[in-house]
Parts: sequence; C-alpha cells; structure tokens
Amino acid sequence: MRRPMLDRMADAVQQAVEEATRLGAQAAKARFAQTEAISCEFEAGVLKATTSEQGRALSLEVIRDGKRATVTCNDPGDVPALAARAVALAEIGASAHCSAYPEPSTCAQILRHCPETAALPRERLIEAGRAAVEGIRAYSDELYIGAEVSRSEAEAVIAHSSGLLHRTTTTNWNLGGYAQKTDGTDMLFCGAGRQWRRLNSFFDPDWVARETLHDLRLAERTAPAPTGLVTILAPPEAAAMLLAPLAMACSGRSVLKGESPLRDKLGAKIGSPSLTIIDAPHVDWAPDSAVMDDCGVPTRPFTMVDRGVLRAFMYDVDTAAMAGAKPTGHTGCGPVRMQMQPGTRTSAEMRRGLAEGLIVKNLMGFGQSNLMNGDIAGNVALGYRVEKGETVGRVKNTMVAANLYDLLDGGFEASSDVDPLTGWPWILLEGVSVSSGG
Amino acid sequence: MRDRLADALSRAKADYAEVRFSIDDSTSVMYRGPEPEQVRSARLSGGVVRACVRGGWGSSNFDSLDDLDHHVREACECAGLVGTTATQIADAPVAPPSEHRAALLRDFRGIAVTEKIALVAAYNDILLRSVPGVETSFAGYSEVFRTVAFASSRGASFLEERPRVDLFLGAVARDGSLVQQCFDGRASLQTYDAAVGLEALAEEVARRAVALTKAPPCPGGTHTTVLDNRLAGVFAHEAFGHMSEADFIYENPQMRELMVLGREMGGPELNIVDDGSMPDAQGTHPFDDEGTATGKTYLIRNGLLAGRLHSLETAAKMGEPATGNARAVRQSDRPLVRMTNTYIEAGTATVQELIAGIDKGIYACDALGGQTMMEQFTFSAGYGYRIENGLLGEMVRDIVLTGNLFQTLHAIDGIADDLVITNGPGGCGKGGQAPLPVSFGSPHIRIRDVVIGGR
Repeated sequence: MRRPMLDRMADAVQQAVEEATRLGAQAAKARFAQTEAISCEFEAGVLKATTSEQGRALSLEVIRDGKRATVTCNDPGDVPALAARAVALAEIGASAHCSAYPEPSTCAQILRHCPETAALPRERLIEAGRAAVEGIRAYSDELYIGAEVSRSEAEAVIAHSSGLLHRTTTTNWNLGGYAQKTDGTDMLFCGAGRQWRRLNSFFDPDWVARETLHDLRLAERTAPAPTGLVTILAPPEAAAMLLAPLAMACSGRSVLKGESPLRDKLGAKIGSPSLTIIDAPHVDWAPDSAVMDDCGVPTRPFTMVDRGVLRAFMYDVDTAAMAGAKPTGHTGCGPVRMQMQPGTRTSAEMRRGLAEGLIVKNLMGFGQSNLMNGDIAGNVALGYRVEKGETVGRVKNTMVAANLYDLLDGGFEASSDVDPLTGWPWILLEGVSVSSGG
Repeated sequence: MRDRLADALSRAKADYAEVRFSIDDSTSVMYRGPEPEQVRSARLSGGVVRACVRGGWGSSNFDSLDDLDHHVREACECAGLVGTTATQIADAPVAPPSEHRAALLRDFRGIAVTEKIALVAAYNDILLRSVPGVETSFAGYSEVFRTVAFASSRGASFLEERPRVDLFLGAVARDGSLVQQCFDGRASLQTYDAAVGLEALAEEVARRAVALTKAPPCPGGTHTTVLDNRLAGVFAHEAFGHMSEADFIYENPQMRELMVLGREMGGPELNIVDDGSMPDAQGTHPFDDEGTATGKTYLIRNGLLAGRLHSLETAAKMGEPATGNARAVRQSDRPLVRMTNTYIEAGTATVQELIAGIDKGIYACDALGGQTMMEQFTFSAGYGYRIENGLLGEMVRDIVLTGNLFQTLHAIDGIADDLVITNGPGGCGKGGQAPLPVSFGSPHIRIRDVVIGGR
C-alpha cells in the first residue's frame, strides 16, 4: 500500500470535516478508502488471465439543519470544493434525525491484517488455482473447470466532527473453483470457495477440489424429487442464505418504516426454542468482522433471537435517533456477521434421521421472491433426494417455496457441527413445499 | 483524451491491447416512506488496460490517468505470465476515430436537483396516499452521465457519452403480518422526460401492492402459462439469451456440440433477436467496449439456432463474425460477452386467442427478476391471475417459474402479435458485473407445462 498517500488522506478527511463545518454544517463525516488487489483466473482448465487492481474513494456526509447529503469522488485533490458541494446538497438533502455523531468510544481489538496475505505473490495464487483445477480434473478430463484466486489489501481512514479519527487496515484472500459437467442437455454445476483474512491452512486448493468432487460423485445418480410438504436439510452456505429475510426484518429501519413483518413481535416467540440468532462482529480474521459502524459506534456481540424469542432490532445512528433507541453499531441497520447457534445433533445424524427429504445445497433465483415477507422460493440448482437417511441422487427441475417464519416456528433444528469459517451450522426445516417437473 | 490513450498503447508490448477510461457524474434521490432517505452525488473516474500476449490476458485497472504508462506495462506483464499459445482476435472492422455526443431530447444536467426531488416527492405522495392499505413506499430517481474514451491497438478510437435516467417506484402493503410489495419504473438514455408524467403508474403500483395482500399464493405444480410482454421478455433474456453468450460455449466442447448452429430450438414461429443498434433502447451503443460496431443478431430464426453473441476473442475462436457484444458495467470492469436489447419477435395470434385455449392455467405478469444456470432457469412474476375455462380469474401472488431451456422453448405453443420492448430500471448481472443496462421484449407467449413453485 502507498503509506504516504494514506498519511495524506488522514489529513484530508479531517480537512474535509473541518471545511464542511466551517461552511455551516452541524456535523460532517469523511471516509477515504483504497484497495489494491491481484488475482488470477482459470477458464476451461487453463490459466486465462491475471489482473492487477487498485481503487480509491473519498466520501463526505454532511448534516445541516435537519438534512443530510453525501458526495463521493476518487480524485481527492480539491477537498474544499468537495465540502462546498456536500454542504450545498445538504440544504435540499435527505431527512437527518440527529445533529451530531456520537463521541468516539473504546472499541474491541480484532485481528484483520495479515502481512503474509498482503505479500502473497501472484505466482502462489496461480499455483493454488492450478492445484484446485488439477484436483477437480482428477474426476474427468471432460469437465469444464474454472478457478479464481485473489488477494487484496485495503486501508481506510474515517473522521467525523465529534472527534473520531480511525484507521483500519485489512487483508483478504479468496480461493474458489468449479466444474461444469455437460451430458447432452443435462448440465451440472458445482464448486466451492472460501475467503479469509489470514493466510493459514484454510488457503487449501485440495479442499476446493475435495468439495467439488464430493458433489460430482453425489450427483452421478439422479432421483425424483420428493414433492408436497418436504423436510429439507441445508448445509451452512445455504442455511445462511435461507435466513437472510430475518436480517431484513430485524433492521430497525424496516421496523420503523412499517415494512418488517416482525415490527410488533419484540419479546414474542417467532421460532422454536432451538433458534438463536446472534451477530458476532469480533471474530479474528473473519472477512466481515468490524469493530465499529460507519459512524464510529462500537460493534458488540448482539442477540437478535434468543431461543425462539425476538430480542432486539438493529439500529444505525440516524435510525436510532428517529426511533428514540440507542444505536447498536449496525451500519444501515444490518448485521455485521450474523450467525446461528449450533444445536445438539450432527448434520450426519440429522440426515440419517430423515425417512425422506431433500438436501438443498444451492438455490437459483432466491432473491426474486418477497424476502421481506419471509417468502423463500427458488429452483434447486443443486440438491439431493434423501431416502431412509441416505443421499440417493440429484434432483432436477424442482422448486421449493415456503414462508421462513412458518418454518422457524415449526420443525426447525440446527446441527452441532458448523462451518469453521462462517460459523453457520446445517439447518433442518420441516414443511417446505416442493414442486417438480421430474 | 483519446490521443493520450492511443499514445500510451503505442508502447504496449502485447499482441493486442486496449484502454478504456470513463468519468461518471451521478446524482440520486430516494424516498422511503414519507421522508427523503438519501440524496447523493458523485464524480468518479476509472479505467482499465487489457492486454493479450500469446493468448493470455492481463489487465490493470485504475482510477486516474496519472500512471497510465505504468498500467499499460502492468497489463502486458500480467498477460505475459499467462499466455502459452497464440492470440486469436477477430479481424472485425474497428471503430474509426470518432466522438458520439449524447443527443438528449431533454438533458437532465440542466434541471435543478430541487426539481428532481420535487418530482420524486410527488410520486412518493401518490404511492403513499392514493390507495388505502399502503404501509410504506420507495420512490427513487437516479441519473448518470458517463463519458467513455476508448482506444485499442487495432486502431479503434472513440469517445462516447452515455447518459441514463432511472425512475423507480415501489409500494409496500400489509394485511396483518402479510407484507406484499410491488415495483415498477422507467429508464431512458434519451430524455429526462422519461421520468416525468408517471403519476398513473405510481397509483397502479400502489393499487397492485394492496391487491396482492388479498390474493392467494399461486398453487405449486405444473401449469400451462401465458406470460405477459414483460415477463416473456425476461424469459427470452434469462432462459435463452444467456445461453447464446459465446463465452459460455467457446472453450467447452460439449457446449459447442449442444449449441451447434442449425439446431432445432423451438417451433417455426419462434424468432429471438439481440440488437444493440435499435433506437431508443437501453442496451444501444454505436460500439461495444472492444470498439466493434453493434448490430442485429438473430439468435433463433424460424425455430432454429441461428447465431450467438460474441466478443473479438470468442468470435475468432469459433470462426464466427464478431457481433459487438463485449460490454462492461463498472468503469474498471473488463468486458464480458453480454446481451444488449433482446426480444422475441411478434407472432400472429391475439392475446385473447392464447388465453381462450386454456381450461386451467396461469396468466403471469410483470417480472421481479430471473436467473439462469444454462439449461435450468427461473424467473419470478410480479403478480398473476388464474385462467379457468379460457377466462381470467382471481389474482394470485408468489409466482416463481422454472424449467429446462430446451424443453421450455419447444413448449411455446402460442406467440401473440403484440411485441413490446421494456425499458425499466435495473439491469442484467453476470460475472459479478451488474447492473448492465439492457432492454428486453416480447409479445405475450403461451408455454405448456411450466413448473411453478408454490405453497
């Protein structure tokens, strides 16, 4: 990273805040961020491209007379002009429900910058991508195989008119691969990917290959989908996706605006006693971890749903002021790193207990349904029929549909085993409507 | 600026190189409920140098032209690490040195932000107050004026202004704990006036959101389904359009075999077109982001696979003509093979004839989105109606359709005569790049045995 530039920008964000205040703003907040990244991409089993990326952005939010506006640029050469634009726009801006940002306070310390990740050379990325590709190719020469590997380093400086000046430096790597198996008009897509901030044993192309081969083998046989009201089992990545509507509904903003179906359910039972949903923002090296929100409010471990009972909504500074609540350290009123508490049975035990069911590994079109209402629907892009506790074959041309809140309040269970990176368990949901064209 | 790009490229040590640099000036306003939620303005620049050496690609992206020579070197060095064979780039005619200034019928840059905020506030008021039962609203306006400069080592050189206006309307209604939403909007590359005069549309959005709270969910199962213009347009885009993008095919022998030109894809009445040169549509540009002229490409003609969409590389590797479909979304994105304006050509039936032939089915309207994984696709209707004995019945909600492309195209047994091209807000996503401005269109179509997910 270009340290001298960052040092200059620490001065620039403070200057932007001061200039906006001088021009009449009651409060101002500036953030500068820059990222550098390299990556490599494999296509059709061979190295196709390598890239080098860099980006910068300076944004300034201004609050003036109950209104606020944000301006952004990536040429921070003229801070006074940027401040003048922001203050002028704020005169006709969006409603602001606070006139000052919170005073800075002590934040947690978490590990987010790994020098080994930052120093990962391009050759090592290529080597890892090639290993993932070759591992997948062991299944068949006829597969179409792709892979992508990258690493990045980002640095940000944020300052506001209540005295905050905070710098963060983070790193990240990404490693993923996939296979497409085409047999006539039948196509199977499967793959695996990971990201983490620290370079450790998670950076493992053999894992990518193993996971992909596992699905390729499971999918060799096809089976008719069970239809009607079916019990589904979702691995961690699918479980996190299926629970996304809950995060939307626990947004303090959605509650205040009347969009959330949970707006009048605080303290009420919304799920089975085995359902506990938390926000865990302080996990070392996790990609989403954060010590503060975008206004400098410290993040903290936060329980949204405790043993089936809705306990709290998430609030950013503006929404909290509007609602008469305390800000909870949630930028945009969304979770930092939502997780589900694990249960008591392993995912293998849960599967073995199914007389008939469906493993849903990937849903296509999930975001197209009315997620705010808790409606979850989609095509089972990758899923398997379970019969007498065994995975018997891949299902095709199959749709699932349900309302998440009906499911959580019915037969719901989380596994005791969790994904080591995301912390998510497998989940079991009873009563999902399944339709299939065979 | 074009001369500066060309000068930097003259030192590129590559078989092929290009540089694209853009400056975006944007403003957006969003209401959510009774208050303005967001007012933003941005001026962002960015670009990318792409190079090909011995068939391998390298790229370097940036946000300032200050170090352009460095980025040209970097892209060439990246490419040099990759390539081991021979560079193949189609010998298509290049964009001659030219400038394409925006010819806006009414230029949004001359209109005060206060007027734009007032426009959105008025729509928002209609959304919130015209129909009892609306809980909250979304009303948004956004504009971007992008100036793009491009040069390539093949001699292409152009500057293009790409303005765009988006107007977005949404209503949320509730009945107890049931929350229903309805969205619509307009987008234009031609005029600010596309965002004006939409009061009736705002009222319709509110009315429909409330009506959906009274509608039962669509029954799951297999249904003969009539798709309205907008949903059929999304079907053409999602179910088939993506399969015609040659980067999914060109290095995959099984896909090349599957998608061989001349293959029977549907009935003889079925024609699907992509046309990046048609007037007044969102995917229209004189040149794509490799400097190739856009044009009209028949993808399916008389039911047979007739063509596909290409970049310079996919065209060369498949021995087919470049079609001008290499497009990028963000300033620093490398171009991918993308659709422009994709539509099903009109047939001969009337809409009434399509519906009259159905004893029991679904009339699915509007589109909330769609996604494809090649052979399998899914897309969601905004709302719909039961069809019983050839007549429209009660309204239904939660209509998510899925199917196998090859089976479904053959299952189209009726194409109406009412082609409509849709220019709405949002766009297409692929490879992490979204939203790409595209238009889609279709007449009403009827499909047998569509799988609909439902409870």
